[in-house]
Amino acid sequence: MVATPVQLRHTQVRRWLATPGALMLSGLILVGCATQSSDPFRPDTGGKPESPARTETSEPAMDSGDVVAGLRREAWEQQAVGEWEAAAGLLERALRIDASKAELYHQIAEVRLGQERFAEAEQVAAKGLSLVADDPELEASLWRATAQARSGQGDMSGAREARERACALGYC
Amino acid sequence: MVRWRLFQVGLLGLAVLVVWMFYLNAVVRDGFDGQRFSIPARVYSEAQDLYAGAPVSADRVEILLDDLGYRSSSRVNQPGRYRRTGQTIEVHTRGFEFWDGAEPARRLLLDFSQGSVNRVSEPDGSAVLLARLDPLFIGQIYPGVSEDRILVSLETVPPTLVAGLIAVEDQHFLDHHGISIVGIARALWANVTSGSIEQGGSTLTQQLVKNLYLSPDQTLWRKANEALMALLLEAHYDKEAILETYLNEVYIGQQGRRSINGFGLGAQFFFGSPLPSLDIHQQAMLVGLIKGPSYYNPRRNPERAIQRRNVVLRVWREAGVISQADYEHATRQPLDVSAVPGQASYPAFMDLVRRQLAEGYRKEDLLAEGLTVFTTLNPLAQNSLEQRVPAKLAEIERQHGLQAGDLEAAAVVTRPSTGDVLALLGGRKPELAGFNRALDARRPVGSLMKPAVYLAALEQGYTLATPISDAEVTVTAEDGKLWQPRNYDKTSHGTPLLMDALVNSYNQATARLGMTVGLAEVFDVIDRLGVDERPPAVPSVMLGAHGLSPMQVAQYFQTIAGNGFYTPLNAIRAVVHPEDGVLQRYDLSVENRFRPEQVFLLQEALHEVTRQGTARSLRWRLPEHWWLAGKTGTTDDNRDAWFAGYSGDRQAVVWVGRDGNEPTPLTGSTGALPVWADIMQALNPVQERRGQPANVEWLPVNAQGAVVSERCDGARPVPFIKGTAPNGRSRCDAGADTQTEGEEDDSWWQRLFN
Repeated sequence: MVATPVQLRHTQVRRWLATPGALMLSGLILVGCATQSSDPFRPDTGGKPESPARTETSEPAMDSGDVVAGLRREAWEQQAVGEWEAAAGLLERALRIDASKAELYHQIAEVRLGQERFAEAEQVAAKGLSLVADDPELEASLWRATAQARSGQGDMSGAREARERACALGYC
Repeated sequence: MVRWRLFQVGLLGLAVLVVWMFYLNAVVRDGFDGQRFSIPARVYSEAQDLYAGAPVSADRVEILLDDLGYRSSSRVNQPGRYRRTGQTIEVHTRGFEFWDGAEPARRLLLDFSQGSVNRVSEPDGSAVLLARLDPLFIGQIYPGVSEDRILVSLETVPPTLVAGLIAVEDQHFLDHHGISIVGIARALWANVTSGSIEQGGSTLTQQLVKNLYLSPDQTLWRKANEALMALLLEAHYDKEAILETYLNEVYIGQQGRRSINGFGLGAQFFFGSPLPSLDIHQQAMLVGLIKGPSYYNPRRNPERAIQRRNVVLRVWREAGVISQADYEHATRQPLDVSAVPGQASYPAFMDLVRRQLAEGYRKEDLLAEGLTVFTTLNPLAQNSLEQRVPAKLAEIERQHGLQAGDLEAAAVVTRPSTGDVLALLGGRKPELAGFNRALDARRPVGSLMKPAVYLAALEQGYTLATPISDAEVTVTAEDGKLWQPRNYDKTSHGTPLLMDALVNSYNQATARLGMTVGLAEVFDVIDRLGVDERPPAVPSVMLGAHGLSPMQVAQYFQTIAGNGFYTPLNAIRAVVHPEDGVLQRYDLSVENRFRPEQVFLLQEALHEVTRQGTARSLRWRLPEHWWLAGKTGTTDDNRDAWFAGYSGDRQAVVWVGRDGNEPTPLTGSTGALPVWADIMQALNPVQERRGQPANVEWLPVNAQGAVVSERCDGARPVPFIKGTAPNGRSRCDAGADTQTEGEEDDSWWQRLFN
């Protein structure tokens, strides 16, 4: 979680943070924000005061990352012994806690591969790819899962294409 | 010779009768076994996960614990107790056998801070990664029965009620074999003399047969069948079984389209209490209702009802069911009917669960005894919906000078990632079953259909910055009719950028765009978005001249919130058989139907709707840093006000209008959006924008749609799919088509994006 109250007041900045390469520059932007009173590319909100109850961001001291990681570990243990249904159940529970984690889609895709539900594996991986931003390694893993899913369906050229996407990201 | 003929005819008649009896016998056994020996499926809500970071406040957890029947207690020494101290809740959970494993009962210490769980620990201080409360029991479902019931067993029914029922309806029930010869003779005589078939003369068994198997019309043929079936029923089943089924089947009331069958449900419906706790006078009222549920309806016709009740009480006293003292006491009592019909807690949601079960299961599977159904209902979301929507409607009515109770509403809350239906509101009085507007009200969606037009345009190579014409437009439809949509403000807006035409919900620009892109393409997009029916292929559908239910809108919008992946909306997570385990699990289902980067652009445009467009009031209605996306919808003469939108992993669709389809003074922005905002505030979703596809870039664009330097006045960042933006940088005032050659610009802004 990169969000802090300072950033949250600037929608613009949050959007930039989501762009590739932006994270490295985030420090720089924050400096910019501190000195600039308003957003240069968007009509200003007019400094409308926020109601007092809403100014505080409800960022918990601890985020849900630990519990998602824990559920993923547990799912791995189930996957290792071929308990696919149990693994899927754990991962979906994690997904309901944090739906933005592309890693979860990757792991669910692996479960579907294990179940030989190849078409579904490909779809789940694709959904993961729609969420992965700025993580070439994870993106490549999702492409590799896609390649396996396509092979499983007999789509050899599609599989090759997916594998090339993974290689192009530097993770062959 | 004649005698021989007669014998032959007689023999034939007998054979036909025997075959007929065999047939009726099969009908009787099938129907009765199906009704009687099914144990209802128990239905549960989603369970609350407890972990550090869970976005739920101490207040909300306390409400949930109260709903679950936990007791606030100074000593948390047994399951089902809790103690709240400021921002800390100590709770002894009950544990539960979930479909995916058992959750042990355990003592937990929950620390909250700023509206979230901060820490979960055991009494010895060690941290707990993840625990869950038991789910909320939300009702029972009787397989093969479309109505809700509260089944009662004979032992739990008050003896006075059983004896009283027999005394009033069928004095010889315990002696006869299904029919009463005297009764039939008397009825026949009455019918012959009056010339019509009105007299009953039915035994309890016959009444039951009539309820279970036969149509209500009064013909001799039906009467004959009824008698035969009553005999068969008595031959197969004992008196207790027949009586018990009767008690659960008898029709004693009506509420809209919902019929109230059985004394168990009747007790709750009329008195708000379970059957075993009813007093004598209340029991007598229920029995009295059998004769005429509508005529003696105690809510509508209290005078008649009290007379009828007292007649029943007199029969009871005469038959020795109650004493003289009981009689005198009971007849002095008021009707004691509850003001509001007591209900299953979440009738609209249960309705959805029932329908999904009916779709996905063979009846035989459902007849299995004692299934457990784990649903997606989130009790806190549902409670918020039930509290916020009626309150907001009342406020809107006051603001717009409407009569209190004028407006109706329906709402659906879902989880975009999984398609879970978290909460459902079928009307502003959520406790009432009956017309489920969320599923069954088909209302024109107005501008809610526009995103489909813009998505079709993006698929055809338009960008968000493509200028499009908002000039007046006339379309000749295939049937020769002219269609002339006009903007809401009756003015044209020149050539807005594509995203601005959506953000401001321009009708003319949208109609032109749709016609240019092609009606077939737009309809294909509507279909892929998940609208499960073919709207008529006329251009006006692009502006929402087509009725959809809030649930259908939620499904359609779900595909947008889900990054272009279709996920069927779902109310059931798993169905568990007591011996065989999980019968069915509804696991994650995603199906890619649109390129995620194109949907990303649409999402950004819908986000702009909440910043600058028709939903800009959300900037003050909700915390300004929340990332929201949504669309308003308003139909002709303001008959329907819609808002559909999402944030993080919560989506809500709201419809506000009037049942009679009369005009209102409300638009999507003033009628539905305030309700939506209140719902979202209560849901408190994760408010972050989710990640963006790798091949999207943000470029500064001027008012004409040309990519310019970010230093130009009025330049604003617009997302493009890489390679689709016009090449090079233009002068600040350039039009979309006039590109100047790669003006060198090495500001930090450009370095960020290139």
